Amino acid sequence: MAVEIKTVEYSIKIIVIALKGRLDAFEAPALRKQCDAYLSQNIAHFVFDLSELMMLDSAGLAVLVSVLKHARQADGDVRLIWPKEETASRILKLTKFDQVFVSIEPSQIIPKGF
Amino acid sequence: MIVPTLMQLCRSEFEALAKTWLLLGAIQVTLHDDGLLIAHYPGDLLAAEPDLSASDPNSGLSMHLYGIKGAQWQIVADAQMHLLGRLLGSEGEMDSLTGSLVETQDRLVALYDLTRATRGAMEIRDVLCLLAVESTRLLDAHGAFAVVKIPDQAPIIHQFLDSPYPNESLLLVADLFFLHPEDNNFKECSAVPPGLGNVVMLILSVRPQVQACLGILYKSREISSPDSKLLKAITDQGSASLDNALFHLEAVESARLETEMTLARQVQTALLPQSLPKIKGVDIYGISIPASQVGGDFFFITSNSEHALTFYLGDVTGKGMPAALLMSMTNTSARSAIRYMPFSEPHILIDRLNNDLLEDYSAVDMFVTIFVGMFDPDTHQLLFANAGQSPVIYASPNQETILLEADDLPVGIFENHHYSMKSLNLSQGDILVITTDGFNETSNEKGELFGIDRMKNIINRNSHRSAKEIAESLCAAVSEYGGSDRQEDDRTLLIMKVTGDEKPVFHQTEMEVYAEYEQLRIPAQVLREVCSAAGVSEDLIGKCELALQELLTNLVNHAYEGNPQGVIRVSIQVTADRVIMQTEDSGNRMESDLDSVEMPDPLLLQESGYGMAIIKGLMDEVTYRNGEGKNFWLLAKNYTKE
Repeated sequence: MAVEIKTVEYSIKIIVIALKGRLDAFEAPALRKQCDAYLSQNIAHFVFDLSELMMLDSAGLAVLVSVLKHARQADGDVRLIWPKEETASRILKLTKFDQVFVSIEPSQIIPKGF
Repeated sequence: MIVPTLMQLCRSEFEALAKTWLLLGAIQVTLHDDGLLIAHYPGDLLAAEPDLSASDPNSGLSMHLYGIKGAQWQIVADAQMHLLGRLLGSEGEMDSLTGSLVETQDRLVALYDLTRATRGAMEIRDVLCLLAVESTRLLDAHGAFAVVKIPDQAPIIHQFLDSPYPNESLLLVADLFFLHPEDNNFKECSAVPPGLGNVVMLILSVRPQVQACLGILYKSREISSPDSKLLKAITDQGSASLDNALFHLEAVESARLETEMTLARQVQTALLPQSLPKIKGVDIYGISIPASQVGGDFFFITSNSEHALTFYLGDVTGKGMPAALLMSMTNTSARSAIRYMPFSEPHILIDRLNNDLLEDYSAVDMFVTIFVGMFDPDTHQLLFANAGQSPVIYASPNQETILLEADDLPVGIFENHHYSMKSLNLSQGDILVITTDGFNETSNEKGELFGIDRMKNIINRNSHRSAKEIAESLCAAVSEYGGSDRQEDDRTLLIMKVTGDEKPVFHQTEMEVYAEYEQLRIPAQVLREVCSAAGVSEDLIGKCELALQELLTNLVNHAYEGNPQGVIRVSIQVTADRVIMQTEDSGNRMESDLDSVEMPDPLLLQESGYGMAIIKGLMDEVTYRNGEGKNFWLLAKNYTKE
């Protein structure tokens, strides 16, 4: 009996966005525009690399939350590579989004040991 | 007639003539003046009738010849007499000319004396005396008098006359003359004594409001041309001297007044508090700037264990000396009331003040407004009564800055009026500003008033500063608004601020930015620099920066709704234990209540509404004030230096 081969191709597109410097009210609109473009292509998996981020305010946070909301609606997710700087991570703790966003290490972008 | 002495001058000429006649055969020659023998040759006189006579009708000279006769000698004798007469006449003219020359010189010397004498005369009366005496002497007159009339003063009259006239008569002549200066004849006026009818009146022109004249009683009515020139010189000199004397009088008077005013000012200043009490947790400051040397404004601050802090500020209607006198009285009354009624309350003090002063104020149709306050630093309760004092401004964090209405009557109007008391519970940061209307009623060159709104804005803008600094900002702003050359009304203020334990400022900076996101990075950068320089930790700087960023973003989004023309003023202050960030904007008023702000649940994935909650989470003090179209925010973070 010939083997029956059924092939299913899973491909997950993960967009990694690395941010450097300040993500504040002035910069947020540009990031939002770029993310919206990905979302419109049905991309739902995002990693924001905040490790080099110097400052994050509520306007910047709002972009991350917006992307998370849309990604989840498309069964995707947003993960964060945690900022090194307290000035950038402070708002995440203060607003308790550190308990909402999944934090990963850079090596965990592609699940290892699979 | 030729005076005999004159004849002495031409005796030799006559002698030569006589000798010629004697040689021609005459036995005697005589010379007569108007028939009076004045000379004869030879020595012994013959008692016979003359054989020949010749005379000169012009001079009145005549010559008699004895022992010679004949028509031809008659012609010779006539011609000789004629010549001799002419000679004597010329001599006489010469003499008279020399005489008037001497006289003119005498007068010039006298005029010089007059000038010198009057220059030294500082009193009006002395000048008049010199004028009358010297002009009599100079003009060889019977006498003279001088009159000066200065508004609101009794006329000053001086006369130099052998038989003096009543001063009233001289004044009457002067008044008639002032009325019609062109009319110099007073004969027709029956009220003028007859001797004064011929007086020559001269105007001494001094200054418009002062009338002065010189009257001269001539021996004859005729005034020669040199005399009229002399008169002009006398009146010019007299006018100048009189003017000097008036200036002197004014200078003396104004120096006296100035000395008195300076003394009065010193007394008044001494009545105002010389030092301000230092009470923990309260910053109080008062100052009074009178418009004139003395004013009707007053204030007082005192503190003792019985009634903590008692203060008042008042304003007597009107200004200058009358207001100052009443102010001194009222201030003393109020102080003694506080001293002797230590357990009393503000309205009771005003009741008493009203009863004490009513009679005095009613008598002069004036009144006084007064605000009396008592503050207990332990309970933070302010008791106050306000007898018509306005404006009183109360600024409290997170509340609109308001005007406390002056709804009670001023003091000094109704007997037995009972004043009412109010109370306020003050908290840290609360500011009470009591001023006289010299602040809000100062007008600019267009006549627009400074107004309460400007005062409120200055108080809000400077609310983080000390009471003294707020006072200085107010004074400077009003002074600038009104133009510095003239202050219309007294300006007095008293500021009380509940401080807690504020520390002195280390660093302070202010800037203005437009309501654009990119611009918000400027204050963030400045904050970093100022805080770093003050040695504030990186962690604390980060918290302050985020809070400021959130606040400014909120202002752009909500106060100005994205209008990039909006201006935000940011001030940053670092004290030894506190970072204070303040903003001022003219955007929309914040509608929600700060106390009710809470952090949204993150699971709801809300995209907005975090800003204010973040600020509250980061800061130790967040206050919001709104006043007259402006929003004022204050964010403060305490720290301890490492």
